[in-house]
Parts: sequence; structure tokens; C-alpha cells
Amino acid sequence: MATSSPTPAGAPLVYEGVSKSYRTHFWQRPFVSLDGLEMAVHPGEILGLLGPNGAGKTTTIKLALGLLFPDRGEVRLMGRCASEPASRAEVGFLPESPYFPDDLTGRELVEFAGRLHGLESADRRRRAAELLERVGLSEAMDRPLRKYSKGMVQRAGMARALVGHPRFVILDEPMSGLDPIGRREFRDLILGLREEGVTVLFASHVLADAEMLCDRVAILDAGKLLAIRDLGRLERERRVLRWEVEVLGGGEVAGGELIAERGDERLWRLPAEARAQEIVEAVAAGGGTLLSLTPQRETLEDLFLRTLRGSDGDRQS
Amino acid sequence: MSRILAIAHSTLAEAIRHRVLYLLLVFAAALMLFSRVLSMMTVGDDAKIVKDLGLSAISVLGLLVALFVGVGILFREMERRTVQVTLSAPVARWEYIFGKYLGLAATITINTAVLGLLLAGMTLWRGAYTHCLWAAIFMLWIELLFITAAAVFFSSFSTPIFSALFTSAVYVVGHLCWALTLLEQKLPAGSVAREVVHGLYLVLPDLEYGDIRALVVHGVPVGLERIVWATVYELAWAGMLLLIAALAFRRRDLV
Repeated sequence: MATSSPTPAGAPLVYEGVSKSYRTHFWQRPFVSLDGLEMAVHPGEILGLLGPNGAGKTTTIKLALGLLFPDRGEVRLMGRCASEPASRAEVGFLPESPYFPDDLTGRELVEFAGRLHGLESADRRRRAAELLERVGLSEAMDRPLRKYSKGMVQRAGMARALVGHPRFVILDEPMSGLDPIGRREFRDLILGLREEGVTVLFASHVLADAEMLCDRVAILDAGKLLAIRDLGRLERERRVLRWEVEVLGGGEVAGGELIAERGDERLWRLPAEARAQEIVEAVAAGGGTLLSLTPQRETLEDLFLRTLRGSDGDRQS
Repeated sequence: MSRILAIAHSTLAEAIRHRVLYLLLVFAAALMLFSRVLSMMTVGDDAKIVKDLGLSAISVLGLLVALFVGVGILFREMERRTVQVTLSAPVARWEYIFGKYLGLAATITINTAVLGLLLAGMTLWRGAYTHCLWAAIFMLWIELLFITAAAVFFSSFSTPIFSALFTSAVYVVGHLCWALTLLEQKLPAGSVAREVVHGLYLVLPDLEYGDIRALVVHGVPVGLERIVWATVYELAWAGMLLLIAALAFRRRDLV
């Protein structure tokens, strides 16, 4: 099982050997949702929580927020036991499919959350208006939530999560229901939070979002933490899987496979073992002009699938 | 305290938006107006009929509000998981329970006040108004605060149908406790059955002591002492139920 790197001082969220199981009916065997989770979210980072459905992502989040209680182990949020309400004073949360009272307006929703976080009346009104504008709901803030689209509810939920001036934000599938522009805006907003020193934990199925946003990713499957990877290091360490070479004119590129052709321009694929210098020489030997030479490296998706397959293998063996 | 008030305020706002509340209010008002028609067709003191039916309407409406609005709001919060959103803020579980209760109690208070004023107006019109009417309305209000606490208590661990059934049962049993004392007198002294019945009487809430409707309707004076003790007794029961609800909810997994 993978373990997190040593817990840094001031880690906003720490799981120490946390297990959780559920029993849907008293005569059924308990279903293990999390099994001995050891993980820490580092201050100031964006940590992506990845895994297939049923991996234990939502359980991990609910344990952090004191909505569930661990069977074994301890969850510490902002330096306190996660079941203490005070641990959530500087924490914002956006649930997966926001389930807010739909007769509230966007403004009322955010102001109510501000009130629960102890904001004074004037401060919460100002903060609600400011945040709703930041998520693009300034026009719709006085409309009831039942008249919002799914993406608008998601935006209102994000404003709600940020109202208490959080130092740590937990986002469960924050991009679901958003259109491409909304996804882009949310990505910028999350990156903006990191700039402001806010730590972010976010669960997602969308690996592309995680790849663009996260400093590290944690991969969960069947309640176990399979890996935690530093994406910055992964970027440097990623293996070259193949080369793609764009060539103008000329004949064959030795050792290459032609995969596309448009007029005189041809796209060749070469194996990972080829050296860049050899490819350049092969293109020149064929009489063509090299337009581009791109190494196709391992993506987060490759890492994700490889990690999951590895865990399947472990389970089968 | 501000968090409890915030939850209470949002609960009251949600209850006020509940259509069932207005339906019940109209139904109770219609029942009161119908009492005037009924009194015209009945031999006897028509003012007593107006008072009797009016007070019963307040009681039944309060019970139905506790069942449909109270149990319904808590169920919806659990079912749609809005409770999880609220509790993801720095809110303690007991603050949530007490906040919800205060919001529902405020709803019951507004209903009772509206119907109480309507009844007072009707008795004033019939020339049968006495200040004692407010004592009966006050005691009904206290009883409804207790019933609402029972609704919150059962909703904290049970399904809405069972919560509604159990709350109704508390209302009925509370008003039939006098039957236990009668039964106790008929059982042989020192018998186990008699002890069991006596024990049951002690552990079940007795709502009859605080029910002064019949006395007020018939113009029998009610001592302040009885009102004070009945109020303390029923509010203590309500407090105890809320405390147990908060304890039961404290470690409940919100899946």
C-alpha cells in the first residue's frame, strides 16, 4: 500500500490509519469503504483525489468534515480532531451534487453559510455579493436556486464554500455540470486560491482537470490508497512512450510508421527507443524537411490506469 | 448561539414556504367559523361550542403542523443531504438539533397566535370573551412545543412515517394517561400488574394535567399554580427529548 510522504508541520488534513466500513442492513457483512488510509494534505498545495466509482473518495471527504466517524484511526483537520466543529471554522466545502434548499436565492444561500461561519451581517452581505460576482452569478443572485441550471448551482456552491475566508477548501467533483467556459473559469479560480495560499483538496473523475490543477494526486481504489504522486516530479520523470515527427516532402523515415498525410506534409510515429538525433538524420536521409519532433510522454491517465491495473494484479495474485 | 438562531431562522423561512402550512391554517380557521354555524343548530350555550371547537382546532392544527411540516422538513434535510452541507460549517450536531427545533417552535408559535387571535375575535363578537381563554391557548402552545420536541426526537433516528406515528402516539397516550390511574385503582393492591401500570404512568408524559380547555370553556377557574407546574413539566419533557435527540445524533454517520 502507498503511504504519504512524512506529515509536514501545519498540514491542514491528516489521516492516520483510518478505516471505515458500512453495513447497509444488520444481517449483511459490512462493506469496507476505506482501509487503513495514511495520507496528509500539505499546506498550500492542490491535492487531487482520484479513483473509480466506489473507490472511497466521498468517504474520505466526509470523514474530514466530521460527517462520518472512523471505525479505526484518526482524522485531524486544521490540527484538531475532525469531529470537533471548531476544526471546520476555516474550511470551505463544495459537495458533489450540491443539495441546497432550492427555495433559497443564491445570495441567501451564501449569506446563510456566512452566518454559520460567524460573519457579521455587513461583512456577509459584502462577501456574498463579491463571491457571487466572482463565480459569474451577479445577475442571478436574487433568483431562487430552483431556477438555476446545474452549472449555476455549482457556481453558487463554490461561492458558498468560500464565504468563510477558508484556508482549506474541499471540493468534491467541482467541475461537474459546468460548460467548457465554466470549467476554465473554475480552473482559474482554483489556481487563484492556491496563489492566495489556500490549500485545496479536490476529488475528480476528470483526469485532465487534475493534471492541469494538481501539485500531487492520490489514487484510491477499493478503499485503499494505491499511490500519491507529485505531478511536478512526474512531469520530469515521465517516460517517453513514442515520438511523433512532422515532415515536409521526402521519402520514408527509417524505422517510422506513417500515421497521417495531408498534401506534402506527413506525420510519422517512431518508437520510444529512437534517439532525437537519429530521427533528425533519418528525415534528412529521406530527403524531407523536419517540421516538428514531439516526444509523446506518459500522461496522468497512463499513470492512473497503470496504478489501477497493478492493484488488480495484486488482488488477483 | 448565533449559529442556532441562523438555523432556526432558515427553518422558519422554509416552514413558512411550506404550502401544507397554509392549507392547515385555512382548515383550522374554517373549523372555527363552522363552530358558529354548529352552535346555531345546537341547544345550549353557543359560546361554549365556539370556544370548545376553536381550542380543539388550535390543538389539532398544531399537531398536524408538527407531523407534516416538522417531520417533513427534517426528513427532507436528511434525504436530500442538506444537513451535510449545514454540518460542514463549524456547527455542532446539538446546535443543529436545537436550531431546527427553535425554527419549528417559532412556526407553531405564529400559527397558535394567529388562530388564538381569530378565536378571541370570535368570542368577543359573541360577547363570551374572557381573559381565561388566553390561559387555555397558552397551555395548548406549551403542549405543542412538547409535541414538536417529540417530532424532532423521533426524526433524529427514525423514518418519517414512523416518526409521525410515534409522535401521534405520544399525543394520544399523553391525553389518555388518566386511564392508567383508573386502571391502577382497579388492580389488586401490591400486584405486579399494578406496579407496572403505576410505573408506566410515571414514565409516560401526562398531557391531561396541562389541558385546561374544558375548564376554561365551562368557566371553571384555573389556578396559576397548575399552569406554572404544567408548563414546567411539559417544557422539562421537551428539553429532555431534545437532549436525547442531540445525543443520538451526535455520533450518527451521515452517509
